[in-house]
Amino acid sequence: MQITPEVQQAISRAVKKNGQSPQFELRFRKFFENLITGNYRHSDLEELINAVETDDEDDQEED
Amino acid sequence: MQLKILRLHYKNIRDFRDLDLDFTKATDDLVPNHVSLVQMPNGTGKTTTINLLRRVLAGGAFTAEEVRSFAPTKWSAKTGSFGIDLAVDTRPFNLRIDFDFFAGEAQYFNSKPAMKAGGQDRGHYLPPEIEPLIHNNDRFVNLFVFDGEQARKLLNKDETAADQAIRSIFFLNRLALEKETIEQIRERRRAKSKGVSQATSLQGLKNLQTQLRNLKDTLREHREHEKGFRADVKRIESAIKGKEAERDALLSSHEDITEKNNLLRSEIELAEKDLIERTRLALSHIRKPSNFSPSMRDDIVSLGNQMAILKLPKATSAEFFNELSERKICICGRPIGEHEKDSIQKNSHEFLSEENIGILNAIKTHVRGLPQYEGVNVFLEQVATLKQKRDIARQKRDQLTAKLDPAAASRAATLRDEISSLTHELADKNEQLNFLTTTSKDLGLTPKDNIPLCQAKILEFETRIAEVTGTVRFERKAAIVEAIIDQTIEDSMRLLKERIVAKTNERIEKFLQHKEVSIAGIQDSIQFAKKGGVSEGQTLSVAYAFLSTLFENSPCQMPFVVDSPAVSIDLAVRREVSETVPKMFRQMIVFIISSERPGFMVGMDKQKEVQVYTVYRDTKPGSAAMNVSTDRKFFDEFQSEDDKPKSKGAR
Repeated sequence: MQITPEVQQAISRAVKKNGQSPQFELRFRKFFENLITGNYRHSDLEELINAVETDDEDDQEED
Repeated sequence: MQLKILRLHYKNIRDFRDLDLDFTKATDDLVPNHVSLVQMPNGTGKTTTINLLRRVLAGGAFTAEEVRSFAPTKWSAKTGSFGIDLAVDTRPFNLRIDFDFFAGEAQYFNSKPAMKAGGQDRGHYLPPEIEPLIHNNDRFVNLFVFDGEQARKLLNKDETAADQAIRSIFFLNRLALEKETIEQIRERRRAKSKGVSQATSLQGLKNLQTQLRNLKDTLREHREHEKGFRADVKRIESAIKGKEAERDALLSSHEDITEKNNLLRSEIELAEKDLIERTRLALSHIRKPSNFSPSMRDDIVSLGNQMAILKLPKATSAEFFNELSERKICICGRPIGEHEKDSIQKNSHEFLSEENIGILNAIKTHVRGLPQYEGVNVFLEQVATLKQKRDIARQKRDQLTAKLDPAAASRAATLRDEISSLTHELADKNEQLNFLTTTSKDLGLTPKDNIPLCQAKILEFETRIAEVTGTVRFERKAAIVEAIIDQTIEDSMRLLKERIVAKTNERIEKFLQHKEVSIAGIQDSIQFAKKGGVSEGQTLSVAYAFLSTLFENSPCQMPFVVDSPAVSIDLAVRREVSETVPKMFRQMIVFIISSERPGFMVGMDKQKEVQVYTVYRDTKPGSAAMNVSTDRKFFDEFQSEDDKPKSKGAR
């Protein structure tokens, strides 16, 4: 099932604005599609959050 | 994906005794007619049907008062039901509500698409494709099971129906719900993290990291000390060995004392070895108070016996006895009857005490397992004897030097003193090394004094930090996902509203054939561009144009069910509405009254697939139930006395 073009455009902007990669955008779109089609698993959201890339990640790991 | 309404089933609902409305084509029972026109007189159940349709689709509980409002008034019935046959694409399923008017209760039943005919489950079920859109979403259902009230809500500036409709249909409200789930995950992770550490904030993490750094510095110092002590021990042992070798050499210079010296040295070494072993045994016995003396052991046993019954903490164990008394069989295997149940409940208090009873229980358990008295004096006497034996051997060895020449004797005495001093120094260093490296927990050491404890503390802090770091990092990531959700919704709403406004205005122009009514925008509700009031008909036309635009790009094609679509529209607009609106939906079910037909049927007759139904009251004597006719002539001529304008008598 397709996400409406306006929503796709909004997702793209929001993802970029928050410093995330095109891969994350794909992931977010897939997540949203699963919400729409009812193919949603409870672990999907937690996996999406864990896929977020943060600048401090390497520093934290060094600590 | 398309949702289709195939049939409705009424049984003992208001004026419907037993009636089916079948919207499917004669040639295919899974394909509904494009337009189904259901003519029902006012007061015979149109509003009831609309309400039941909404409820059966969205689910949700009924009050007893609501349930009883569906009961027949013209005959007596204890139960009734309302059912709907649906299909998602080519997969049929059905939903039914059974009403118990006497108890005031309602129960949902469903058959899933995979089930064979006749299989019914309790509960409300929707296929996964439409479940997130419809289940418990009254607002969304109201958009496609539509009436004048919903139309007014779309345009009322105090209502948020238009804004909510966009959010519902494009799943943006579903996306917004994920923020609540994020909060739940966050709370769960915080709670889990607190099991390891109280610190879940960034500041807490920094504090833990500082403490870990300090611990690692301490461990580094410990390692340096350990290295120093081991080097000292090695150096001293070597020095002792050298000096003992020199003394042995002095003593060996006289053949008559060499053998004695060797024997005494062996005796001293053996005594020291035994001394260490016996001292260890004596210490382990001294730690047990019951070994101090037979009378002390007797006192302890006597104390244990006086603590007659092993009691359980009341707060956590009272429920155990309650549950036990409710069981049919006791844990000992015997049956529990009424008498046993009473006894368990009555006597349970004898086995229950306050929370701190656990400490006393532990003492009692320990006392019960107390071994026989083993006097510590025996071990102490053995230690004393061994020490005496060693000291005598040493003295004898020292006396051997008397046989040496004065210079050698003096040197031997010096060596003896030096060895003694070094032995003390060695013992001191070994003790310090032992404190630093022992894994014994009996010495009251802390991570500041001991390497294994320091290592354990470091491991504990590293675990805590890993947990807190994970939590802090997760918080950052979750905040980013929340921001993306918020910005997606905000941006989507702006873009969607722009398109919907433009498209709706195109359709209004098409319906109304002029440009005097248009919408300027959508805030919470639809904003008219025209100043001043709008007619009821214009309100409806705008609402249809808005809804059809909305559904056009919806992920799911919904049937459009509408109650009295033309009642307040003038004849010219009726024609336009009835000609244009059906083209916007794959399936349309229209409930009308006879007075709506003029004008409306002109547009309807231009539709390709229209099936008409007339639901009328049976006039046979003794019957007050509703019947249905699908005859077009009957439909066209039907005039209800209840509808306006007044009936001409024809039906």
